[in-house]
Amino acid sequence: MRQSSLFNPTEILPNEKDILKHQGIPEEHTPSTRIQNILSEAIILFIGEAKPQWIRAQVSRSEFKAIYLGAGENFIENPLENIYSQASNLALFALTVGLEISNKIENLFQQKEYALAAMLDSVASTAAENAVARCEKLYEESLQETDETATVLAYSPGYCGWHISGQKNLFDYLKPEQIGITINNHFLMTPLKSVSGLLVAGPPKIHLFKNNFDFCRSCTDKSCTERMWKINHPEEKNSEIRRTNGITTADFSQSSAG
Amino acid sequence: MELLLQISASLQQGDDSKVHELTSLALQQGHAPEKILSDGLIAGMDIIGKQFRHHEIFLPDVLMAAKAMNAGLDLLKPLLQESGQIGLGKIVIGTVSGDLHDLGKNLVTIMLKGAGFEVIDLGKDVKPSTFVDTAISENATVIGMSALLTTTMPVMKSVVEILHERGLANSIKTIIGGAPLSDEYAREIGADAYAYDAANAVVKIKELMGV
Ligand code: B1M
Repeated sequence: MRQSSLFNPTEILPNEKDILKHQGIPEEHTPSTRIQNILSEAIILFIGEAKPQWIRAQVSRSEFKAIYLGAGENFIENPLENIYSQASNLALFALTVGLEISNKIENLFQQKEYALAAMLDSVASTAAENAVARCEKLYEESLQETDETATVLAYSPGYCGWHISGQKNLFDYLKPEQIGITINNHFLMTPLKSVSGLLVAGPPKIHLFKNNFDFCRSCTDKSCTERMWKINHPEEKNSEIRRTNGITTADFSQSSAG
Repeated sequence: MELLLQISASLQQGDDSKVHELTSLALQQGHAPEKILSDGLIAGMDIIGKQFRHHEIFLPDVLMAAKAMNAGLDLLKPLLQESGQIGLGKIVIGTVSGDLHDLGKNLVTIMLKGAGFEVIDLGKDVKPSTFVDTAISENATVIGMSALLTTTMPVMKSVVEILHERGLANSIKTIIGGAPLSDEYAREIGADAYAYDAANAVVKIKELMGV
């Protein structure tokens, strides 16, 4: 089954703490009034400009196997093969926050409104991550009647050993062009603030794995740790909308070296 | 407070209209544009850069200061161009072809301008030949390339190869940056430097230019 819909920008609006963290401002630091004002302005712009949309298509395990192996560049040892083969339900998804927001960010940079531009970029990136969490939730809810104990987590090409070129087969099957997402020869999606991947539903324990694969060593985000922690602590699961797609928040703070 | 120090202080506060007003006043009072640039604007950005590296201030503070620097620079630029002294050196920068991630490249550009470099920003999705042709036509001595995907970083190698083919690798240096890049990759493709962030890019380019 194929479904697509819009999100209301407020549905995926990040909380201020996460946006500031994305800007490299630590939680314990109280931002100045000026920074707070820039943040408020960026949030208003986001609500006005963002056009978030998503698309999802159910796939069988064998269909996904063909999609997954098709690109042939995945790491031989990876967690996803084991995870999806135990899934009760699978769906490909893609989502975007929209082209307008990227254009707005670009215009602000051109107008030399650098701080506002970078803040809006952080709002949009964090919102894209939240949208993944919303997609997980929506899929979980759609399975309520048949698969009520299933936990849904998203996995994306470019993460956890699934090569970024995997997006080619994903796009061929899902056709996210329907909601305005295209991909180029380098597997870059337009609009920029877009995410693609696989929603995996199944018993919570299938999402647990030892993160000591070859590629884990060079992974800078390690958000799998947080995802697995949440699975092991289900009471925390609904505490707040948080990114859980394996895409980490960026930290703009400078390294102390240099 | 001495006028140039006041410019530096206003810049650090991110007060763009004050920087504009004081720069104009300094020119009226006969301060040399080069002096206003180095002892007012660049001196202020220098302090901002250090505070940022020491986590005393954050990205929005740096970007507000950069906007203030621009307010002063807009007045100085035509005068500096007349005298032929625009800054520390000229850099051509862009995000490589196939890639549209330009936030990192924009931040590097802002920091480089703040440090006193002249930067020609080619934007995103820039072809290898465009980097090289622009560097030649603009007399730039450094090409800076940004990429965020492993699938677009090979474009950087093409730029280095073109420079070698045209015998320009000694006169035009290359620096690369972006999430999947590393010192090791820079060495592998024959790029002259790699920078892990915008502040580090300033340091590395100063080294490349010997300034
Ligand atoms: C010239 O000299 C120089 C010198 C220094 C230079 C330089 C040039 N250029 C940069 N620098 C340096 O200085 C800058 C300032 O300090 C820095 O610039 P950066 O651009 O690196 O930093 C920015 C200021 C802040 N950084 C960022 O904004 C990017 C942060 C990370 C976490 C990231 C984010 C936030 C996002 N992403 Co995604 N994302 C990641 C990133 C991982 C990471 N830790 O960097 C990366 C780039 N993403 C990745 C992936 C896979 C993806 N993402 C995707 C989506 C997203 C979001 C939308 C959720 C979001 C926003 C995207 C955006 N950038 O606008 C997808 C692609 C999107 C698309 N349009 O095609 C998707 C493909 C996932 C999917 N399947 O959907 C990975 C690429 C891996 C690869 N194989 O190439 C990735 C490295 C994460 C990872 N796996 O580790 C330095 O690198």
